[in-house]
Amino acid sequence: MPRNMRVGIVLTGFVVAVALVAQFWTPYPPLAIDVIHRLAPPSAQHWLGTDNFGRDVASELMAGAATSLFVAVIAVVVGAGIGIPVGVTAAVGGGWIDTVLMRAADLTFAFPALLTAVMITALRGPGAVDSMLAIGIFNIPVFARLARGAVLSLLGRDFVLAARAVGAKWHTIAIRHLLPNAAPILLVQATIQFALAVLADAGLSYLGLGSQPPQPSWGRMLADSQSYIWSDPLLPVLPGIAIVIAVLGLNLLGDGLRDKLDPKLRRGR
Amino acid sequence: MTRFLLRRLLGLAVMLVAASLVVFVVMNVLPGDPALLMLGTGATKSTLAALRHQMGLDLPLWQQYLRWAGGLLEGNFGISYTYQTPVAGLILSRLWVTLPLAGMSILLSVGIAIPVGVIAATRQGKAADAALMGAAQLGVAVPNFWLGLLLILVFAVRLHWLPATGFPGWSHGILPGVAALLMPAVSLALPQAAILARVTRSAVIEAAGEDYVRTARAKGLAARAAIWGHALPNALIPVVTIMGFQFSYLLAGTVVIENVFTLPGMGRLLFQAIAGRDLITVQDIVVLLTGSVIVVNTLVDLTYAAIDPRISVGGGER
Amino acid sequence: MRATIPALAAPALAAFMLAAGLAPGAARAAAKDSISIGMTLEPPILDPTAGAAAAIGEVTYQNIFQGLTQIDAAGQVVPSLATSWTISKNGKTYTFNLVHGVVFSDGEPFDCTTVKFSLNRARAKDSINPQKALFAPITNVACPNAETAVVTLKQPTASFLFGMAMPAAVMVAPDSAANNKTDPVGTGPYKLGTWVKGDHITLVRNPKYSGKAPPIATATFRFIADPAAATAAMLAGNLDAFTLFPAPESVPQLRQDKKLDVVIGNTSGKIIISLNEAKKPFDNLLVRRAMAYAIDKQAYNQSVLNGYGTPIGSHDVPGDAGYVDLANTYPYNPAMAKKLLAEAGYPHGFSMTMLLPPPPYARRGGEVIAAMLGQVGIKVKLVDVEWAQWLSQAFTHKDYEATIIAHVEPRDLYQYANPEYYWNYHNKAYDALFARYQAATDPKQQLKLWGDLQRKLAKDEPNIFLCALPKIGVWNANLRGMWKNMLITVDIVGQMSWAK
Repeated sequence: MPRNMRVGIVLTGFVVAVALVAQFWTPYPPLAIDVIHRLAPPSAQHWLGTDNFGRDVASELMAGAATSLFVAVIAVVVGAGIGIPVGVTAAVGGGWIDTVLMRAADLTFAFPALLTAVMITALRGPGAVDSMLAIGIFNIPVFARLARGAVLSLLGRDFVLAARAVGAKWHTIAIRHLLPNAAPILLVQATIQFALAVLADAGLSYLGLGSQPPQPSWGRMLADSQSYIWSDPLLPVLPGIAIVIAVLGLNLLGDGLRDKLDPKLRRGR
Repeated sequence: MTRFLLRRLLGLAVMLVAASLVVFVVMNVLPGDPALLMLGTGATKSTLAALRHQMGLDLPLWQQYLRWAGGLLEGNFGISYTYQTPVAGLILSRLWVTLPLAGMSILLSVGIAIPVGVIAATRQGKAADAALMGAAQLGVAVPNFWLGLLLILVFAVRLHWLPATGFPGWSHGILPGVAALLMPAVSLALPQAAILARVTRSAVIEAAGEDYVRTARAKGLAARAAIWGHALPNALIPVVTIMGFQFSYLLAGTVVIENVFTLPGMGRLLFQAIAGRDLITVQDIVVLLTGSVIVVNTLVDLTYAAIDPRISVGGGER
Repeated sequence: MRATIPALAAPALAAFMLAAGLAPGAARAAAKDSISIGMTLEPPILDPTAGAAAAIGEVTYQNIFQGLTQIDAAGQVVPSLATSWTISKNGKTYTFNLVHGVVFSDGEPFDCTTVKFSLNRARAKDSINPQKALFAPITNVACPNAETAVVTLKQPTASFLFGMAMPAAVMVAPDSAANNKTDPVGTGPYKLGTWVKGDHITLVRNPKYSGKAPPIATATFRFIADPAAATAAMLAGNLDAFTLFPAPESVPQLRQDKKLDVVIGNTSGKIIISLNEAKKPFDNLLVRRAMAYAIDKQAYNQSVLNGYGTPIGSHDVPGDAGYVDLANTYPYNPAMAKKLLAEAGYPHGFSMTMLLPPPPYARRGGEVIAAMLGQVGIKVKLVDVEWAQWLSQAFTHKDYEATIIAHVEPRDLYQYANPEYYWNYHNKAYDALFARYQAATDPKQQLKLWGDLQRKLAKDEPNIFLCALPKIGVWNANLRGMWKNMLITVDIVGQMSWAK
């Protein structure tokens, strides 16, 4: 296994493990406010100190791992779940179907994500899914293009031609033959988009458009505490480091996967 | 090729109309009323009605759309609800900040990425390669606004080398302007450079394995000269492609970075105009941004087609 | 690789911590006759009679535009374009004696016709004045001569002179009024120099100003919304002053800088949890009182305002003439809150939704308020909203249960007597009390009734009163003429100067 991938697996595994543990145990309840002990430095009681509400930063970071991963999963699932069928349909359908779908994808890609985020935040009624949908929507054309390109390159291959010769239907071919063969490249892209989603969440949170309180999230912790950068620099630095670890891990994992799955690039390593 | 171009141009026009419709609908669906925002908590029914009439907000929606879209066709961007001045002037003055910022960050990112990528490629597998690529991996993972904050902390507050925030305007000379844009450009450029450096490295390594580079080396060209003179130019094609894709991310990135450094650029104008429900300004900017991204993507597609005739330019022939 | 990452990260981090931990060095040497002032929001336009944004007043009030009266640093009404005035016995006729020889910056003279024009324009049918209510009592404006203006009111209005000192009541000239939004023309010591939208506005001395030329020749207002960026700009010496500094958490750092003065005062902002009395269970006095007992105002103050606010118990702030300290009407007592909830028929609490507009007092405050209400069984769902959405959903359509908001308009107790207002507070006793206050002509009587109004609200707790919004002023230690407290948002450049 490439060294990149090992590091990636360790980092990603660590983040996932922390997120899972946080479901059952955190040193303190992550939302418990304790104003008397606010802004405490790291100590035996509070490993990483407390924030401006006296919440335990370590507990918040643990709970935030779960939120950030969940948010990124939604973004990727939305993007891939809509983008891949669109891309495959465009490639297989061809002609005007292809043109319309791909131009729509271009438009979605070009439409400012900021406005999409504002729109979803403003229209989201109580109980609906978070504004991470905005990032998911931004991901749709990424997956659509990739899936279309991958499928187009497969259409002339023997196994597809053979399946067509025996009279298989297009949707059968798409599910049985095209998707499994396009899966590696899509998987790699999913890992990369996953990492980008964690970053995008931080950016949107900075603008006040990220996940909603009181749900702990790294992006919001960073956004909420960035004005403490002068007085308590650890507060904005820690979620920043958490983001860097998660994104780094996911990127390394993606690289490793690419090296393993894409023989053409392996030569370069 | 001409037919292909015509089709793309027609597609572009259709998409711009679609974009204008989408943004118009979105802005009108969003809760909030620009007149109410002007009047605030002292608003009464009568003042609100008077102001809405003055702003033309009491017209039916389809008339508002036609008034705006028709104006755009004549090159009239309309009057900002918030600033009460022509939007064209607002956008133009903001472009004088955003375009230099984007330009500087692209230059910086290429200026860092290409040498780093090539050096890593020539030292493939050695310590320098590992160090540079490790740094690149780290660079990709750093949120750019966080980087911006750290830069302010070190170079403005601690060292007093550069102004912390704001933009003096080009009328005060080129140097103060560039100084004000330097840290924002670096914050935008470093993560982009990290991605580009990795692409450059793989592309150079791949190109170095090709026959003509090996031929060049066989003809006695030094390894370094072979890489810089032959492998790199050929590796530039994927690098340029990635840069095209980064354009859209760059535009999104300027919104955040312009907020961190409080630069009067397009991104912040869009951000404030959305919050202020300055409908006309938002609509104009979105059509412009969408249009420019679509144009860039079309150019990238055309480049593909020009480089590799195997790629079907029509997009869809099986 | 495994060794590379920490090796790269460690020095960067160390440099960062070092930089963060150390106080900044010398600020830029003070300029003799110019000043740069930071403010968080940019004024959309520069006509205070056409937009409500406080930023419009901050740039223009007493700098470009002047009113008949003005508010001074102590919050008192003092003469401005009216040098003196008399009020008739019945309290309905105000006779203003106007200054002589004043012209607008475009040369148009100021006299009674200007007063008549300005007041009639503000109360006209098609007026878009953001505080049109101020002009509602006026029935007539007469000009017996050029230097006297006689204003007749429907009924005695105790708040009239104060209202005429508001930014929305400044004097504008007939020829230039329509263009004031982008090209303001006033009687003040300054006029608009340049306006780089999104970045700064520069004011320069008005050569036509009739008074003595002010010491500061040019004033630049710079717009910095981000609290971290505002701190950076002050620490780096890029700004001379920030009158309403947005980052209370940075105050300890700023205080370490000997070049800076940090002065904590009061604004007229009242941070409250607005409750919609038209929705259950907020129509129930017991529930409202239970909520008040459940909230530790001092904890809110500490965690949201860094302790610089002042807990309040009614809709008024310390520093206002006639303020009564009622902050201890419902001392923090979760047990009492639970008891009252049980009495009201909610032994297990209830669920509610709270809208949070963008400022930290609401966004940050919402988290701590939700936690405290959660302690007594009230489950709070927090919903972040933009101002645009807040204004249309909560303020106009009254489609909300609760929201955290700072009401910054000074002396706005009249809104509790306004049946249209978004709180849906309808109380006959309060309305009658307010009518008595407005009708009172004796200042002592006015003051007493003003106190009674506050007590009545504290008793009724139509909203949960939290804290007075602090005014954190940060400026160069050599700068003179800055205000500690501020009832209206102003930066009066004419009073500022540099120490030798």
